[in-house]
Order: sequence, then C-alpha cells, then structure tokens
Amino acid sequence: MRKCSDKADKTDKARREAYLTSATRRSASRMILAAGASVFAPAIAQARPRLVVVGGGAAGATVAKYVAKDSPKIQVTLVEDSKAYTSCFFSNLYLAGLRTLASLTHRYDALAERYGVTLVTSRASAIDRDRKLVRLADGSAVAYDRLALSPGVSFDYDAVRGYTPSAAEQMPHAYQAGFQTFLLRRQIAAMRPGGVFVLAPPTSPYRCPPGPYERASMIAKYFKRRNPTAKIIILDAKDSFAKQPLFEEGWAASYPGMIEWRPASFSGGGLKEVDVKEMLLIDGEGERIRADAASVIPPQRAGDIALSADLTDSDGWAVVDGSQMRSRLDPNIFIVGDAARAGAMPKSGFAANSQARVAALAIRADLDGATLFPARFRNTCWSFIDNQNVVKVGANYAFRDGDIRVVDRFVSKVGEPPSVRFDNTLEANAWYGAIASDMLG
Amino acid sequence: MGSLTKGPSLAPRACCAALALASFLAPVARAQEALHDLYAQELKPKPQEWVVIGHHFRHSDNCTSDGCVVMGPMDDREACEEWARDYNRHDPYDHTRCVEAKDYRTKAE
Repeated sequence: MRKCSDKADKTDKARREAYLTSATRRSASRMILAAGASVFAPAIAQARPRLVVVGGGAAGATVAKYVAKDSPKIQVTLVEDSKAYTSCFFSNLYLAGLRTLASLTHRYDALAERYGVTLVTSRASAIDRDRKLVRLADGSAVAYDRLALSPGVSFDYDAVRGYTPSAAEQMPHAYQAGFQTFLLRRQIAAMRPGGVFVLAPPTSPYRCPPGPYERASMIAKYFKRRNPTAKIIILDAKDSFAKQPLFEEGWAASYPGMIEWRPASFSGGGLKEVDVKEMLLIDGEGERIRADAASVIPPQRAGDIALSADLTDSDGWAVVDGSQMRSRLDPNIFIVGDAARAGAMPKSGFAANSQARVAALAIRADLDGATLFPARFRNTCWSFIDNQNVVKVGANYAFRDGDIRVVDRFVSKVGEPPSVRFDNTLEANAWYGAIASDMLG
Repeated sequence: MGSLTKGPSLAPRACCAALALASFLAPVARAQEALHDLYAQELKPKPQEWVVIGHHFRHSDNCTSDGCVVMGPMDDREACEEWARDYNRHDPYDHTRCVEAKDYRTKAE
C-alpha cells in the first residue's frame, strides 16, 4: 500500500514536471504571462478544451471524474492542496470510535490512473476571470476554458469574539475534516471524569444541518462508554434544528440527562465570546460556561477563493443558475457543493455529488457537444444517534421557475420501529461506500 | 547586530531577548511537530483494527464466506463489540460479530 502510494506520488510529480516542461517549450507566445507568474497548460492545449476543477471534495472530485470519464477529449485538471480527501460526512463516527480516520481518507490517485485527470497538488490562491487563469500558491497558474469551482466553506471568525484560526486548535470546529477532527477527538478523550463539553452550532445556512446534533450524539456515545458522568451542553445560535424531534427522542432513550440543548432565545442568541486560555464560553446573556473541551462551529460562507473572485452574493454564497450549476456572474465558471446557494438543497456530501453530475453534463455540453437533459437532483442525510438508531431526511429536486425546488421529500418519523432505524444504519453505511467509490474510485 | 541596536550595551539585551523567545518557542514548535506526527499516524491503518461482520450487505465487495463488513474499521475494540451485541439484539439470526480486521482481510485476500 505504502509502496503504491509513493509510486503514485512520483508519478504525479513526474506528470506535473512534464506538463510544465511541455508548456515552457511551447514558448512565451503561446503562454499568457501575467505578473511574473508562469502559466502551464497541456501540450495539446490548443486542440483539447480545458476544464480546471478547484477543490477535490464531494463535488469537485465528482465533476473531475465524470467529465474525464465521459469526455476523454476534454483535458481535466484537478487543483487540490491535499493528496487525499478526508470526508466530513461520517467523521462524527470517528469521534465515537466507530470508524478510523484512515478509513475516511481517500487518495486521488485513481482519478489520474483510471481517468487521466491531471492532479496538481497545490493551493489555488486566486482566479483571474479576465484571463481565465487559476493562480496557484507557488506563483504558477493553470489556464482553463471552463472552471468548476468547489471550494467548500470558509468561516466567519468575526462572529464570535476571541475565536480565531489559532483558537480553533483549542476549541476545534472540526467542520473541515482531518486535523481538526483529530484534535477534537483527542480533547474529548482527554476530558476529566464528569467534565463538561460545550458544542456551539452556528446560524443557518451551514454545511450539513444535522451535523452538530449527530456530533453531540456520537460524543455522548463515546462518553457513555468512557466517561459516563460527563455532560454535553449545546449552546445553539438557533431556536430549532434539523430532525430535532428525532434527535430529542434518541437522546432521551440513549443518553438520558447527558445532553442539554440551549436554544438561542434562552442564551441571548447563543455563543458570543470565547476565552480559550481559560476555556470559557460566554453567551449573549453574559453567562460564562467553563468547559473541559469544546467545539465551536462559526457561521459559514463560500470558500475564500469564490469570495475573492467576486462570485458571491452579499451573504457570501455563490450565486448559480441551478439548471446547470453555472455561475450567474461568469458563464465560464460552474460552482458546485457547499459554496453554492442551490435553492432548496441543503449543504451535504450527497447534494454536492448530485450537483456535480449536473455540472459535469453542462460542461460536457459546452466543451464536447454532449446533449443536455433537465437537471434533477437528490439528497439524503443520514444521522447516527446510537449504534442502530440512524435517522434520515431527504428529497428529490428539480429546476423549476428559476430555482432548484423540492419535488418530493421524506423524513424519519418519531416512534418508528427499531427495525426501520436499523435498516437506515445499513443504508447509510452502504451509501458511504458508494459515494466514496463514485467520487474517487 | 551592533549597527541595528546602535550601541554595544543594547546588543546583549537584544540577544538575550531573542534567546528567551527562542527557548519559549522551541517547546511549542516541538509540541506542534509531535501533534502533526500523531495525526500522520492516524491517517494510516493501525496495527490493530476491528470490524463488525454479518450477513447483511451481501451485495458488497467487502465480503468473504464468513460475512460482510457491516461497520468499521474501528480502533476501539469495545465499541466494536458493543456494536455487534446491539445488532444481535435486533437480529439474533445474523450471527453478527466483531473480528480483528487483520484476520478478516487475510481471509478476504
């Protein structure tokens, strides 16, 4: 496994070097040189239309794979600063000890090896929309004919006084899976017996609406086994939350007395300030809660690169035409996943994957003459409350009257037989395998 | 150094301050490095991991004649065994159980 990975790393590097060299040979007349940055493009750039995908999450990886697989004529480049993707979905199971982090981490190699996607392991720092270039952190740039932007979310650190990127190492948001999730698990494991864990969910919209409450459930699951007198306080910025009756039913049955939910109206709008040195969380009423560990999830908006490229509305979300997921502000750019304001769809891995398929077809229509079909979207969010108590909410969507709208929906019901929840567990696990394979397999 | 501090008497002070800062920052940097090393380990399969196997998921690729992986891999054996116990309460005929992933992988291969 290790050998295979190392080999893949070298292959990527060699491919990228060859890529750069061929572009250099093509001479400056073919390359757009701006502000001292080198621009690299495939040797046959003039012959093959170029799709650049920025961000290798559930949406970006899916766009890259489907365009490369179904339209080999299109040169697909994925710009992503990590060599592997750790899924935010299912990461709460890692907190409970029900999955390893390694099992939630998937390399991008198959996209290159099976579908010919060019992997550029670098951070995309800016988009030059006039020149149709993605600028990279190392000073180089990649040229595109179409750009699929999947930058995920960024955090509004001004919303909670004292909460900064460095404070996030003491009170992890764990809303970008990987190191943050690892930190949170360590802090939960290190809590004193009978300690207090505070979870502060944000105002809507944000990534995975039931996520914070699944997190409370999975941390309670861990505490029940390892620290049964610990307590969880949810200091919410809202007065209600997704699947609330289902979570409350599950908490009463599985973790009686362990989880206390404080709505915004009870806490002056939720968390307003933190003091990470003292591990203090202060709500809008001025109440100070001393925590042994905490997870603060700040309000969110589209990933920074979408903001800096002026592709967002005044609330910080990317505006798209939901019939194709094409930016309403730039016809050469498609925006998919959590960064997009996608009508009635929530921000979830399933939704991102579904949007990516719509965008992939529209990109193939632009660059390869593929036939367009009316956009259809699907989503399901499963939430783990206890070992065999998994609930779900989902919908089918279509583009109608200028926006993405619900066609039909379903949601688990309070009081369902255990066998139904148990089947949901199997369904959720099967879905995880399927989406990981669909994105990156 | 002398030209920066504009006088010999300030040089030792600046030097001491720099040393003090360095001695303060060094353990912080080492702790960060150790944390990132631990994280890197966490991204690799662990020597001991457990999976729950049962007879559901027959359509899965992850099956042997013993059954298919229903949950995991996990690094917490107690969590795995508890999961299998809970599962059997719902479906005692499935003979779901927690096994070490290494043994299961060997059979699968």
